[in-house]
Amino acid sequence: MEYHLLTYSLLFLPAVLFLYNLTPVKFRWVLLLIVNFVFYWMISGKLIIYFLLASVITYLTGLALEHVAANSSLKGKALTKKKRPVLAIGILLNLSMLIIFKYLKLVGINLIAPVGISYYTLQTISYMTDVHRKTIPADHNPGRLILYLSFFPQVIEGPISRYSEVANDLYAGKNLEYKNITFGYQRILWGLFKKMIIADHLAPAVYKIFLHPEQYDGSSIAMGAILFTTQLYAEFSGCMDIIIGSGETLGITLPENFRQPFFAKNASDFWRRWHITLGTWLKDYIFYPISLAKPIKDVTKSAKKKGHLGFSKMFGPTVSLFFVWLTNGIWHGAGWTYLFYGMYYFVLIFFEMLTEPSFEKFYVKHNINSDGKILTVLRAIKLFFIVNIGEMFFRATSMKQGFSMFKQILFDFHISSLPETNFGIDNYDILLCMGGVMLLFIVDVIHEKGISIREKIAGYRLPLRWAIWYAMIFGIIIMGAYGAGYTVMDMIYAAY
Amino acid sequence: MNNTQTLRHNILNISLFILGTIIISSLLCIFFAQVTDVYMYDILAVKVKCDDLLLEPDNSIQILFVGDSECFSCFDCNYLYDKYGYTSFNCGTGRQKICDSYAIAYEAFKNQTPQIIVLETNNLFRNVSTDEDSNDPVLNFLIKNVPLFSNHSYWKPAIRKFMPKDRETKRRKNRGFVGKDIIVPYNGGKYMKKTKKVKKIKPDEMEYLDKINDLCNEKGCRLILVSTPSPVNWNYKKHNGVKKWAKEHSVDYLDLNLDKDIGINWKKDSKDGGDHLNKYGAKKVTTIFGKYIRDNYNILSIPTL
Repeated sequence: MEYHLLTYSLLFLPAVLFLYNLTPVKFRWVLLLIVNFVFYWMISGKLIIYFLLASVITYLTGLALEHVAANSSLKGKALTKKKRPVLAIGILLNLSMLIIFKYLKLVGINLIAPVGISYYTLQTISYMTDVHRKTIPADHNPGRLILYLSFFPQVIEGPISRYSEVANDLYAGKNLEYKNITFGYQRILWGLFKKMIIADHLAPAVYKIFLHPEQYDGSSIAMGAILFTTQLYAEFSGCMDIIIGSGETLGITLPENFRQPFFAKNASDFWRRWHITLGTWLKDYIFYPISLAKPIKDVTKSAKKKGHLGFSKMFGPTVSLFFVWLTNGIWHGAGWTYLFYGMYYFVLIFFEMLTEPSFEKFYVKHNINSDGKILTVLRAIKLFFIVNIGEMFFRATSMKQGFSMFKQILFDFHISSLPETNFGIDNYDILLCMGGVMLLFIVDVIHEKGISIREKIAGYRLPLRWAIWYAMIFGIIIMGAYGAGYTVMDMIYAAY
Repeated sequence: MNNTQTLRHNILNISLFILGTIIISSLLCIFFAQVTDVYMYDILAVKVKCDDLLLEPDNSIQILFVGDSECFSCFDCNYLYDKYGYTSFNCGTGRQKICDSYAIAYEAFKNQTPQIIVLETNNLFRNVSTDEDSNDPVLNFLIKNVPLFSNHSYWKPAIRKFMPKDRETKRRKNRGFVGKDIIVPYNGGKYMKKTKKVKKIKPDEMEYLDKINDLCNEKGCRLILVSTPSPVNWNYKKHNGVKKWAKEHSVDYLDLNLDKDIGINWKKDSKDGGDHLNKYGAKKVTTIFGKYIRDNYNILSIPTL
């Protein structure tokens, strides 16, 4: 059962809320745990065994790390060194399951992976590392730990939360509140709007263009790339709205995964706004450990001594950045296109790191406001190209296809042929998508200004407030992409 | 307000909101209730074709083509008229299901009296049932029981009159035929390998095929089944399945995938690597089809196009 299905939001979630409210506070975490298992069983069947195995490994690693720390006279770096093998074993065991299920296809072995393995594996690593770093104590209650790892709204495609962010709230069995339920469902509604009005309407066009790009000229392929980026944003952020809204109904605040990414200033800022929890995970568990690793420090020190100040400043971040983007690419799947996608952003962000100081100096010297309107628009255009090209390679079935599409955009671009192109969706759906994207843009502008739309609407008088939500509900029912002539699409990021 | 009062107030609010949703849904169901007596899957596509037919002079069409994209890519109605003098209209639509072919044929008889209905056979192997949503029981239930959900796409025909007409005019000028001059060769070699195996037409699709046949019999019109050349979509098992039905019902069946005289050059005549024909391939199909009609049927009086 995926989150965008009505069975989830109109049957499963209300049933959970109802049972949760009937259950005494101290047993609510038990109910949630049972619900999580039922949900996971429904989506993954017997493969739940691998999830449980990963949970047990994580739990025991946490306890072992604590045990080593408590029974050792060592302190500081020496203690860290002693704990490191325990952490390494825990991470390797969990990672090996991810590798077996996700990457053995490279050698021709195709296994059906447990749903959400890419997400919960990252959560197990973050928990074990945080215990190792003493950011959090090891949890002695396996139920609470598994509750955190298996929380049903986020187990399929994140957001990748930290133990310290949600575990205690999940365990506390908070009372349901009217505001949480209504706000949660309003967010679910907005997520359904993005998925059913924008993403699923665009899906046939994207499918058609990427299936046979050789049949289209460069302008249509460029449009295909733009449509895919739009579809992905509406779909992934829409599903996040449903997930975070579901958590909200239970009083659980899950971390945000999107923050108006297309208003970013550059590629690195884009990744601070797009799939945020993956970005922060990579920063905390890849970037920093590599930056602070002894070999990196030694090289940096040596370069500094020899007077290579620029090199010493750039070396650590560059190596760390390389591994961050390598991991990002590989995490998405076993394919060259994903690796390319990671390296693409590595090169771009590295280039930004190199040139940013010079640009800043240039702006100061010529008295240019770097946040002025012209530069903001130019930056937005640049980012638009960067993101769409990246997503085109990400969606391409092979590197060959990606480069061939790119070549067609560069050398066979005829804008006049665009109106003649059959994208496989009718004019009404095209207009509907345009309207939907416009609304999405307006909402993003309002959010970028720091205004909470739901709080704003909640302040209106009841008739207006209800009219807005009824318009949204019936807008989705009437114009949604479902039923005759449409296919309800699976969640894209659930496949990664 | 104390806690109990707040709780009551909140429960009342939620109940009223849900009640409002039910009332509005019920009112909208009146508007969205299907106004036609035949089932349509792709409401917009069927409506567009039916409206096109209504704009034609009464009883002016001799041959009506129905089917999916294979149909609208293969039968060039203007060319058929120029070469053989037959008036026709192509009512093929993208991914058309057989139920929609029936709906179009049914509606067509309201102002036309076609003497021949040609069904391109590719859609006989496309499921009529909407199994795409089978993993969402709540949505399936609503689609099956609430007209607002099952006919929600009615908003499109409703606002169609406000849409620009350029594309529609072009489509009507070509009489439903969509010809492309793009060439993407098919390189897969021979595809009609002879076999005795039969791909059966499933009961749901068979039911609508029977309905089309009954409709033709009732209206004194001939039904012809035509399989247009397509290595991607067609094979001998499907040929056998259609042939079996055609034989049992004494309906003529023309499989152009087996016709060597047609002279399809797969290096030049396909627009998408053997899935559909381009306009050059369509000319060849239309020529051979027109000849077949001329040789085998006695088409009555030719109205002015």
